Amino acid sequence: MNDFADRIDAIRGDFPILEQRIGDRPLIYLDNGATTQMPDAVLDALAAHYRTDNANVHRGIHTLSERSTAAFEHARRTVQRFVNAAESDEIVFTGGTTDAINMAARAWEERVGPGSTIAVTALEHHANLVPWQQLCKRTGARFEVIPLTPQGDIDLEALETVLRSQKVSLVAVAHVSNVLGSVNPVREIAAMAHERGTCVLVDAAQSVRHEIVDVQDADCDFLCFSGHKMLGPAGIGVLYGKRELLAELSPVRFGGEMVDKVSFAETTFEKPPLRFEAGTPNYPGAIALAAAIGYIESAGRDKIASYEHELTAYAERALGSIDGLHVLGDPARRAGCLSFTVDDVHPFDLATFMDKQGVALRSGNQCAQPLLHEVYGVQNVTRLSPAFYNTHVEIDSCVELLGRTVALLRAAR
Amino acid sequence: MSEPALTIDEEQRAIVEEFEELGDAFAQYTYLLELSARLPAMNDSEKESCVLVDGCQSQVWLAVTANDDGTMSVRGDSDTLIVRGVLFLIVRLLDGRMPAEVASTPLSFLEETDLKSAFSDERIAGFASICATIRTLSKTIADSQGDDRQ
Repeated sequence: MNDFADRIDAIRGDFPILEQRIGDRPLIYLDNGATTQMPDAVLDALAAHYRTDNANVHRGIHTLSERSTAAFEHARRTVQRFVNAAESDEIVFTGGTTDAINMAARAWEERVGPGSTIAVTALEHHANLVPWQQLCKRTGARFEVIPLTPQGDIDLEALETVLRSQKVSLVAVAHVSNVLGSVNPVREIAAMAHERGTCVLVDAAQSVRHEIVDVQDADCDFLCFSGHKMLGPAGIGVLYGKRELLAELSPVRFGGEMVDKVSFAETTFEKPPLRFEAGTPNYPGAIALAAAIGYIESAGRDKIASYEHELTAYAERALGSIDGLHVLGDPARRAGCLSFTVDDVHPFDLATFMDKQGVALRSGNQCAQPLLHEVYGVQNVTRLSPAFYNTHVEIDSCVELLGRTVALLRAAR
Repeated sequence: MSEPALTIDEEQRAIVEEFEELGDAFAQYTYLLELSARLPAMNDSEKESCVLVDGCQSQVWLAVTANDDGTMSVRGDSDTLIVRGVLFLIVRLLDGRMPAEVASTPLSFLEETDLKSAFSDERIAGFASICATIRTLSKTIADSQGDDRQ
């Protein structure tokens, strides 16, 4: 039995932002798919670094720079351990998931052209779709979209057909959909792809907090995620790449830190990961991310995963009580979030009125316009995404307020 | 068409006072729902002749035309009730005004009420897009009236 329910008051006490009111109502924060809150331990680590150890990393010979560099490289090893990468050199710090995917897509440019294919799935966030789409437009490569099953899972047979019939250079796939919450079988997809010599990039932005992300087990070639969706600050992210692949790829950004020797005529570059970290990296962000990983590990990754799965399933059952509410998709496994439409109610109106009652939900296209518009035929949805610091009582309150608000909005039509 | 009794600015001040008397943001938004119900809906063919202001989350259709007496007709519709409520206020402020007054008077009522804090920057930007579209259209009408007089 998960002991989160017993510890929830103590856990919530680690997140002081949650103890506030919006107007005269208690905040119920259910927009964790967009960003999670930071516990005191992370905020303290960030402040402590700035208070006592702050200096630019690498190259400096003074004490503060050495401390700062040591903390930064310790953060890299912490991330390595967290995702079970074979070596810390496989961890590139980026500005976030979007930044990481853009870097990968730019670096991949020299490997594709007319006659090759980049495949994405129909459930991708814009961040894991547009960079590949634009790469294909630049290079003349084919851009292939793998469809979904009616339930909202990736159609693996369709993927197999594409892998078999085309020269697919890379498959880009989300581990967990930011709209449907579908948990995708990335290990199986990687195995299918590798049989054909195809590489796989996994967007783990939505999974890294509540799925066990193990890059060696999944055998993915690249994997990326953001700090701010796993209790860390915004502006820090990770691009994992297999060592041999990173070593083969050319840098896509140039400047300080990433060079070996520079003359007016030539430049040689550092080895990975520094080769991909031009300029001053976000070392405070990386250090805070390591603190976030420490918090998650002390709370228990498997416990977080099971509690959040249970809370999401509880929310889905509770939402069933609202007449005319339709949850998108019915995937084999759902994690982290669920999106819904409500007959005769616009998500913008619904989320706005919920906010005025203290409940933070997300309305809009969730940065997945092709999925909503072209697959599900809806313009916007409302998304509910709980985290392990949310409670069943909060879900109950949210659903009760949703029911009342839906009635209010329908009456106003 | 009779001349409006108040200037746009005077009418804006009246709207701000109305909202201040309502109290909290929930009450203000609920009032916007009431106003939405009073805004005539456009049918599809009317929408086709409108200017579409396409925001991130909501769509707005605007019809800004010249009346025979030199005043302007302002009408609007949206797919969201909250924006329809705001459009009702814009129509109340601007419909039947002289285009030169509309073109020269910034709409500030939203920023002067508590609705401002309740509207995100994105929504304020959406409101700004609506206002900019109306001002451009009213200026075009005002300019064409100036041309006619030459």
